[in-house]
Amino acid sequence: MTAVSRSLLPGSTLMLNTDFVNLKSYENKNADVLALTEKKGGMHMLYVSELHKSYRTGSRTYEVLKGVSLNVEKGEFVAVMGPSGSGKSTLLNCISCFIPYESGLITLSGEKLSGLSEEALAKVRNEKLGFVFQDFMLLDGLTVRENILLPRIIHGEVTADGEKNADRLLKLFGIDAIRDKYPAEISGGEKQRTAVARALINNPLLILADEPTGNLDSRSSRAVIDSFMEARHSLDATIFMVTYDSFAASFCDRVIILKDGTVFRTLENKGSRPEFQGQLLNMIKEMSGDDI
Amino acid sequence: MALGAGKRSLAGQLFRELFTAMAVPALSGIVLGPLFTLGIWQIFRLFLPDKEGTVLSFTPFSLIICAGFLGASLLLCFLFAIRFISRTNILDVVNEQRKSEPIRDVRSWYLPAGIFLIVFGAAAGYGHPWFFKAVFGIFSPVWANLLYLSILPGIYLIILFLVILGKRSRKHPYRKIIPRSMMKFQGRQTVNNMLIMTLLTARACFAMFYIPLLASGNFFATNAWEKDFSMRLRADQDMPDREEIEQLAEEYRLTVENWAEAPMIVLGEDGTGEDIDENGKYVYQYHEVISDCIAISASGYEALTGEHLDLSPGTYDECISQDSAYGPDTGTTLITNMVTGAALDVTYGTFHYSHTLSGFTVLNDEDFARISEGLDDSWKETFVQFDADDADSPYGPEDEYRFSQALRERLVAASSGAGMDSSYYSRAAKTYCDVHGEIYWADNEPASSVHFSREDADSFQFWSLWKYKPYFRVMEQNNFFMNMAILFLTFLFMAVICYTAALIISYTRSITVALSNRQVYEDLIHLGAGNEFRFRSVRQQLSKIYSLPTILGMTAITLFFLMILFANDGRISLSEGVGMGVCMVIMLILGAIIFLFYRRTLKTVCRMLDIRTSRV
Ligand SMILES: Nc1ncnc2c1ncn2[C@@H]1O[C@H](COP(=O)(O)OP(=O)(O)O)[C@@H](O)[C@H]1O
Ligand SMILES: [Mg+2]
Repeated sequence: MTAVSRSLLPGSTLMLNTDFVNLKSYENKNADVLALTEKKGGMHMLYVSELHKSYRTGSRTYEVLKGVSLNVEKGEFVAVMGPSGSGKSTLLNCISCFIPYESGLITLSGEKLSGLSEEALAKVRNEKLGFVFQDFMLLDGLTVRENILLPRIIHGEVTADGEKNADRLLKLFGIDAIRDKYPAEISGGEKQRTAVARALINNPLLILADEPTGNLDSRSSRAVIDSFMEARHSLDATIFMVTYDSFAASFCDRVIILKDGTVFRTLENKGSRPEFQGQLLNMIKEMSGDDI
Repeated sequence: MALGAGKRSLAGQLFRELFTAMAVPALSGIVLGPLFTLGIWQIFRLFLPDKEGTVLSFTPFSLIICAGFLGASLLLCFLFAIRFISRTNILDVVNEQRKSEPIRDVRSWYLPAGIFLIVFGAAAGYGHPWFFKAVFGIFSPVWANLLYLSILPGIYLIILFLVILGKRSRKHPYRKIIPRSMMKFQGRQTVNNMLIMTLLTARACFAMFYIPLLASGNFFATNAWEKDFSMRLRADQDMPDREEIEQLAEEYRLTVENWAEAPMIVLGEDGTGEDIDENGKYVYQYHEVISDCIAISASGYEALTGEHLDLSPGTYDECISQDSAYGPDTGTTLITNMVTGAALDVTYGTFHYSHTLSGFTVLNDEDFARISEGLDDSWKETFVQFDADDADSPYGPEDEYRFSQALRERLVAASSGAGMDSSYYSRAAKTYCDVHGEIYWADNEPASSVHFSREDADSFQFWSLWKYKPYFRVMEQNNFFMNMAILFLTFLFMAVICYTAALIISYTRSITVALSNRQVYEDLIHLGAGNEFRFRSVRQQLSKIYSLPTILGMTAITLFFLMILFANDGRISLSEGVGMGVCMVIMLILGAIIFLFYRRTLKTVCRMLDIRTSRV
């Protein structure tokens, strides 16, 4: 009972009602609760409920995520903000099943990933998820265009369709001129735009971005954020980004603030971007004020 | 490495580590080397006919060589270390580790260019003496041997091409792009290592190939001899006669069969000498007596072979062996009795195949009698050949071997003076030169290089170059391995060392590939690369590291040997073919060893990268 009620998120009142109504009839039967939440998760592109994750170092155990719940809808651009070490990367790694977690439920478009076999998981990561990392993670020996095609290459074949898609993304993100250059020969912003294009090559359900602007100056950051906006606008992509950067986050539809291993607050972007960024900065100030 | 650490303490630490890293393997090498040699020698002794006569000895000199080598490598290492330490900025050193040398542009012409350079290098390196002689009429200069070196860039280009570019299939241009791109990013180092591995493999094969080729040559040659025993007996020395030989054979429970003998004389024959003047230019000069002509009469030939020859006066026939590289000597026009000076004009008739008589000249009976007139015993010999039947001996071939040795000892003991000449030395030519006040080439050489002494009787030199070397089949076959022992040991040593080195380099290269790509493989998981995909990518890289140098090295050396075997007489003889066949088998075995090694490495690397290898 408590588990479900904690998953309630600000700004999703509708969910609260369904939850409440349905749960009544199922009482505390755990399996049924799970089945229910799974069904409910199906309504969202990404659904995370009551995620618990701790790391063990030596004899001590650190709980990093203490019941994180959130959701992302199709076509949304959502950011998770939190200070360094608050568990943002951990959250993303749990979502992509890159690391195991103790409890909680994660579904991607209704599909539970944690039970999948390794090869099936690889398939999901390849076809349904797109990744963008802070340090780009481009393959040094491949050109920009080949890097964009990498998920297709991993998939096993590069169709004419795939190549056309790559060329379209190259143009869309303004990196067509450097298509045959190697990562070592291009700027950080160009690298990250290449990474965004790579994340989009398979038309994934969801893009997971881990501090994509963390290593970039403000101009390059802007270009990368623009490419996210462009992806959402013209490709209807769903983007879930974790970041420390209030500027980057201020472009999002919704920003989830992570603190002490739980969701502290969710802010919605209703006004202009600078206004929203001001709101975010205030929130951060308030948060650190709490700490002191 | 703490950045704050002082350069001095860093240097001290580096030198200490370097010293232990060098000294430990060096010392163990010095200890294990002789043990290893001893091991090989013990195996070898199993095949030796004369276990007491041959002993392995270690000279202190080998230790001096070891010490010299160790000193040189230590010096080099420390020089590099000093250079490394003396960099102004320690950060340079740190950055050095991150710097890799990617290879950018590999063009498709690298492959044909590489093949061309290899073929050119091999052909030019091997064929330059012929070329310079034919075109410029000069002895080819020493630097021409450097032409071989063009093989190196050739192999380099081919490896570059195969590692980086490969042949991209039109249908699947992206198939192997990921492992290839990783290799590309490893860059020059990988290619350099592979070049060295190729050379080591080739060197190892080169060493290994000699043995089967020599052995098969020996086997075929000795088996083709018409008789078990054949020898030249000088008339002026106390040589055994038929009775004595038969008696000696009886002592070893053998029966002498198919005895045949014929009188033989040594004359002078004319010819055109090829010489090199001070300028390295070839000069040709006709000499009335240029070398020995070892002659038998037509009836002598019939006595030895059973074949009747009709030789017209003034013509001569030549005997050659079936696998002769040069064919019969057809150019003689004049033969001379070196005692009386009487000469006979002759023309070449034809040739006859015979292994035991190869090199002998057959004259018409009347010519033979006439030109023999006035020869003293020092120019006369008897050629003897026979078989030995060991049917009565319980020890068979062993008795035959011991009889051979006894007979050989008897022959050596009876030989002195001109009877101990080297086969290079022509007594006829020397006599002619003396009479005409000319200088014979051997006059400028130390006497010991053209005449043997009794003490040389056990040496390899004597056994292969003695002019009156008897041909005893059993002994020849048994002694082959003994005579080749040192050669064999050396070659085996080189092969083992080269092979081990190649394997170690392959292994470390593979591990480096794994370590430097750890992050990439982790990233690939994020991008949806399953276990199978990552496994294949690792396998493709490692298999290239192992297979390319192996295949290139083995192919190169095989082609090189075929070229040499073909070039020496314009064909690949049966014995050479069989020898090469054995070499192929050896290469298969080596290939199998490398394959097993590769599988082990693959497992290790996969474990390092958290890749499951259930299928391996
Ligand atoms: N593999 C790990 N083992 C132990 N502790 C870890 C591991 N990964 C992360 N942590 C710890 O978990 C906390 C959250 O890390 P992370 O998710 O990377 O934070 P963020 O991405 O928000 O900076 C940090 O305190 C970090 O030290
Ligand atoms: Mg992080």
